[in-house]
Amino acid sequence: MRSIASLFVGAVIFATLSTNLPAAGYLKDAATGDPKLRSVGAMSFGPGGLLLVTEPRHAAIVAIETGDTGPVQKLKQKVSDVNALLAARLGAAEGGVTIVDMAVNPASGKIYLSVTRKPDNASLIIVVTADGQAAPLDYAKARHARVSLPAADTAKVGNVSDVAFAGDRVLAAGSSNEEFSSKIFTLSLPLAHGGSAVPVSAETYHVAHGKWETKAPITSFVPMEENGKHYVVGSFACTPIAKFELDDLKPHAQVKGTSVVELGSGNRPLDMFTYEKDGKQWLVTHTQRFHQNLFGPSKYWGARVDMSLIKVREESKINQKAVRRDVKQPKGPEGIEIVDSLFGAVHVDKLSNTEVVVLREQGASLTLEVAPLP
Amino acid sequence: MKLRAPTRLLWLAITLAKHVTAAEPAALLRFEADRSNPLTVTVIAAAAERSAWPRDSAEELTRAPQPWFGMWLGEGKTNSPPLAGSYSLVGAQLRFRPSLPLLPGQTYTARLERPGLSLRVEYRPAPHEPAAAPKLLAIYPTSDRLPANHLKFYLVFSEPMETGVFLQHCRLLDARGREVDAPFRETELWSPDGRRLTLWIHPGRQKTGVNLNVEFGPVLQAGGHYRLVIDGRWKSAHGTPLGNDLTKAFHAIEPLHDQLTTRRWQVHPPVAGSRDALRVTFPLPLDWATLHRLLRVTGKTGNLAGVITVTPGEQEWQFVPDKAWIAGPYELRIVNAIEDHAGNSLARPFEVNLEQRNTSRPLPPVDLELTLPFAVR
Repeated sequence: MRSIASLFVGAVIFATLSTNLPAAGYLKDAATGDPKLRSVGAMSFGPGGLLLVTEPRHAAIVAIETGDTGPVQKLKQKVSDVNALLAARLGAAEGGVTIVDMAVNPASGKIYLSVTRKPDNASLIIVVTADGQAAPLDYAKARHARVSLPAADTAKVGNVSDVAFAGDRVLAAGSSNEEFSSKIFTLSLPLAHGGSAVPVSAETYHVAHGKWETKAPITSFVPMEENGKHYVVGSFACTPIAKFELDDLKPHAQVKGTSVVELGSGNRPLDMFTYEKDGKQWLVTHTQRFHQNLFGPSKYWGARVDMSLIKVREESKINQKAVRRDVKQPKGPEGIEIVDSLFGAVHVDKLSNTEVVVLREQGASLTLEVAPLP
Repeated sequence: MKLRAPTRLLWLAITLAKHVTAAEPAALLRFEADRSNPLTVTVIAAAAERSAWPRDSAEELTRAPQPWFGMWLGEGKTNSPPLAGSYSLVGAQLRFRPSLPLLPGQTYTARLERPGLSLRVEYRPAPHEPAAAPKLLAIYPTSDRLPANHLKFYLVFSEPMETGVFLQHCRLLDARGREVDAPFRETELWSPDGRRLTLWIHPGRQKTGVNLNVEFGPVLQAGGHYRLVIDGRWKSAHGTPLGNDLTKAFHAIEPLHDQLTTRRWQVHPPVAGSRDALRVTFPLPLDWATLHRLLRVTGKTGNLAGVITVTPGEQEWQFVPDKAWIAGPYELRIVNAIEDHAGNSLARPFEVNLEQRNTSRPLPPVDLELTLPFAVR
């Protein structure tokens, strides 16, 4: 009986450990100290303060064990003129800092910004704490693993548009700078420093008006699970939101995503995340409209999409028959709602199921704030 | 007051304490720069006694939004945020080291404010010698006739350029000199060395039936005359502008929609014993970048090493081997992803009209690599 009890306790401890695995558990042969980022782009967080950073010009993902494991303390008040703050903190002239992406560490609520400084093109990660202080990520105790995205079949990766932790693996989307195409890469866990990712899709395609089929690079994506199956929900460069089943993503496969939602002509989805409210799941995406938005103060705006639209399977509701938003209508169709708090949002990331962190365009400057989710 | 002579550090500037009162402790504030890099500096507040600074100074200063000791950009105005960096207390020296190297030509101020003590010293790293202006070495394709569904230009610079600003510096003008509205894809695609930008004409407008194409029309109209203008104000990564605007004029011709084939490619073999170029000519111009990456020559011993040249107009590919040709059979191997100017490849056309083909069958498969055999005699 005692041994059975011990086994049970052991199992509970193991389960607890595996769900709260520190970031270190996701790295192998990790290096210590400054990873000396060569370029910096999209970012996202895994569990335990594991930061995933893209090096877009160098076709690589750097996973950093930040040691930033909480507790959660959200930004206390709005930070005005973020660019001026960062320029001052980095010793650069006004206008000398560019924010490339933003990610919120779900473990701590701290806001991470990937930035470049002019004119030396220094690539940095800046951490904004709850009291609005901004400082470069301290690598003194950090460990990291750099994984390269190899040339897949034919195309060299010229840009890494997104990276995300997908439970049992890390996924990255890389696009070519010579062909109009993108590849999805899988990085198996633990992430081995000096290792190489595996390209798992040959191409992705998009059909317009049920007639014209073309290649379509993915710009951003989120992992999704449905009925035990793993999917990637991605946005194309040409506006529809599509999903791919991960099991379909095999080397050299010609994978066609299923278009499930169309946000309307001229929109370029940027960041995406999912959240749950009153037992219902939503996908939030914010986009940059090609021309001035008809319904709002900024060409940057955001919407939430009922996940049941994303999970739809019926042939009568996908691809060219997918739910389509009419850009000339302020509301609808059902299941797609404009999120007022995301007008002007240049970058967004989820803080919790009730709040989102927004880097917002306000006149000529940018503000950083916590906003409510509907 | 005795100061330990810096050992590994280069002594740069020293300023005597400007005492508000004559009360002790007296202190000196100075910048020291690494010998290997004068832009990597440490500010040192050196006192006579170790007790001059609170024991927890480093922690207190790290937490303070407006620290009583630190470094600021410019004159160090009150309430402006200080530079980010790390503090340490080493003996009687309180030290601050910025997170990043300083930038040439900027003025930085170190400041220390304690009761009865106010110190300030400035440091201005010498500006870079005015660098020679960067050059836009080439714009590919070189042809002045491009299909109306043309997809991309390659801009090759002599050195890395400022990033994040390409849309401000690239314009497309029509025959009347009017700017074409939003002609380029927003994604910024540089080569790893930062010298080559791939400038895409917005695919959403070039792709038939895609919403932007329907709503706003294609960027280029067949028969139109256009000028791609690269702004002379675009700066290199070192901050030196190009100088003059640079222009590529071209005429838009009928769009290309057909899948590529090698049927009309002509291989012109060289003579054995020579290092003459193998020449391959194409009936239509092909994509300059993929011509450098997706064609290779194999012989009995495998891949041949050599130099590839694409002639102006992008209708001829030349290969000069490192070693003289040996008589025998060879193959030109072509990866099927090679494209024309409109993105049509050997594998598939850029756009497939599903109404004009049996959609129940996939596109006929094309080998990943095609071969054109030839013999050297």
